[in-house]
Amino acid sequence: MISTLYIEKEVLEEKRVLDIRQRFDHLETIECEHYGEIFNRKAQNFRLQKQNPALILAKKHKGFVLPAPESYGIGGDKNYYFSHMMNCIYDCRYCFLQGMYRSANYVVFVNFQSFADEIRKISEQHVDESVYFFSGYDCDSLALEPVTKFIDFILPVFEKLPNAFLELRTKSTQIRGLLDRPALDNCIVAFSLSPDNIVKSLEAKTASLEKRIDALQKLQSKGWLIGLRFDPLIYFDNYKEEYTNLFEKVFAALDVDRIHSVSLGGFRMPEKFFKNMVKLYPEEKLFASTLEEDGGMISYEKNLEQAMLEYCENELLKHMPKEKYFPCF
Amino acid sequence: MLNIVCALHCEAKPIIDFYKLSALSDCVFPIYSNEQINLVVTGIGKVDTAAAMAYLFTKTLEQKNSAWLNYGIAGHKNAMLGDWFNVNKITESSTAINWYPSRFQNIDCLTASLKTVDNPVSLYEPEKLYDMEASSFMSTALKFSGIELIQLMKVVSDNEESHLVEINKKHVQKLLLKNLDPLISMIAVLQQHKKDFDEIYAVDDFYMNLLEKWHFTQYQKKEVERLIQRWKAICNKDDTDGLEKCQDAKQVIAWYKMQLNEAQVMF
Repeated sequence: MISTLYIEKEVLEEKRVLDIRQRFDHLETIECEHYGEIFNRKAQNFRLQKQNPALILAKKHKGFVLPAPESYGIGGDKNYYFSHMMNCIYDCRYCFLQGMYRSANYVVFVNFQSFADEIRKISEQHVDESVYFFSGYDCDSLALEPVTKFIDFILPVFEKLPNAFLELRTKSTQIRGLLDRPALDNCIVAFSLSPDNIVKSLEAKTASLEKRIDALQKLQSKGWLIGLRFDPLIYFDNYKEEYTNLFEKVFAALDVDRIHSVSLGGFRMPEKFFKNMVKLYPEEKLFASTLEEDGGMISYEKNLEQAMLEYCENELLKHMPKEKYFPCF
Repeated sequence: MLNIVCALHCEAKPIIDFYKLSALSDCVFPIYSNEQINLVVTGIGKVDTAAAMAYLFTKTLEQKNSAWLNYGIAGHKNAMLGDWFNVNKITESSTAINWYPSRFQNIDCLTASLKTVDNPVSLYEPEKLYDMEASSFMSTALKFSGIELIQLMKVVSDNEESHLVEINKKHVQKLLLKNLDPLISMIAVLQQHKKDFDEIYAVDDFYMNLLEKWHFTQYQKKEVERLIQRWKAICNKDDTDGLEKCQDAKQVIAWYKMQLNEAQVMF
């Protein structure tokens, strides 16, 4: 899975780095000055790199926690996001990361304490409000947990912050660490879900829909709050039937009372990222559909998008109360 | 195409012979070619390397995104003379800029970082190779190609126990001929990577045929190229009857758009 290890000189001797290095002692290890020398350089091909990605261990110096985009929210007063990792081990064709980053290599920022300090500081600034922190924005929150152990580190931090909520966003079944510890009331484990044909066609290397539902069930049975993220909705000829089946299957397997939130969103992408993605995957069906640009964003043609969102919203609300529903459009 | 860059003729000779490369006539920098490989002999140092690579690129009418390989002799503190290394990091000593060539999984060869110096050195840092061209090769190759198609191989010609006072052509050739396998393997791997790259990104035959048949403006060329890609992704590729009846580029574009509007998207 990981082909090479790059390590910034500054963190070479850090305990966390030494632990990760031990795990990958069979890999070629190369010292670098700054992760950007590898990650940000021009003339890289994301698609080719994705075949043999490297892991870069680095230190983040600023911007640990950032305000979340406007449409991001699942009921909190304030919304922030943070990324202890850049890039994802999965290969979802609709993912904006492949259009945003030049490199498909994974960067893990090993100074976890700096993230924790910033989260604590922001939570204390809004002590009378609920502050949500989203962790799965630039990576999958759980997929590389066996290597990074970030969740293991950050959950005790949230345990002591009553007004702070953590959303873990994932398509992974790496939930052992969560199942082995008491559930936190302020942590939501949110799974991205798509119909089976979309998982198979567009979400390469991810856990199957069945396995994700199984993971959700296990988490619920251990008391964890869960979230369901039907985002992005993908158009195809019989989407109505497939999304109806998906909602029925998911809600039949879960206790609605222990679902924290459900969200729905259409396929949308900044135009610049979309152009990069088309260059990388010119033959991709998803990008061959009828899409249009509006205000610098690419999405399905307006009437189609509206029809899809309305249909799926109506279907969803047959299974759950409206208070838990948070549209992302 | 694979473009090979080396500083000295004595370094180039074993590869010229192995691949039966023929010399191009009237060249400022010596160039040797066959159908798959171009090799340029640059001379020593960064300026000559960059100049020779640019010369090769224009002289042979090379396209962007060819594969590029630099090989040649290098110094090392304690490696054995004749040891081959695949370079994983290049540092230009005069600027402290670093480059990191892509790592290939199927290469059975030692790896090391390398420092490009402006003058020969006799004191070596441990575990590092020394040469006088690699940084220039890397920065120039990146103008013509992506990092996934660029590699460097070095064979140790001198170490702390055996300094290279002056380059002995016979000695260099002997070092290379002693074990050419790592270099030949790298050439094969790079050629395969280039082939894989072309399978994804080569210009579409269908598109080229259209350009031959009808006149397209530059804008229309871009438009129809993308329409063909989309059409191939979601339409029935056997159904081209209507296309044959088109009179001009406008009608071709309209035909593709109509096909796409009627297409069913299935996953």
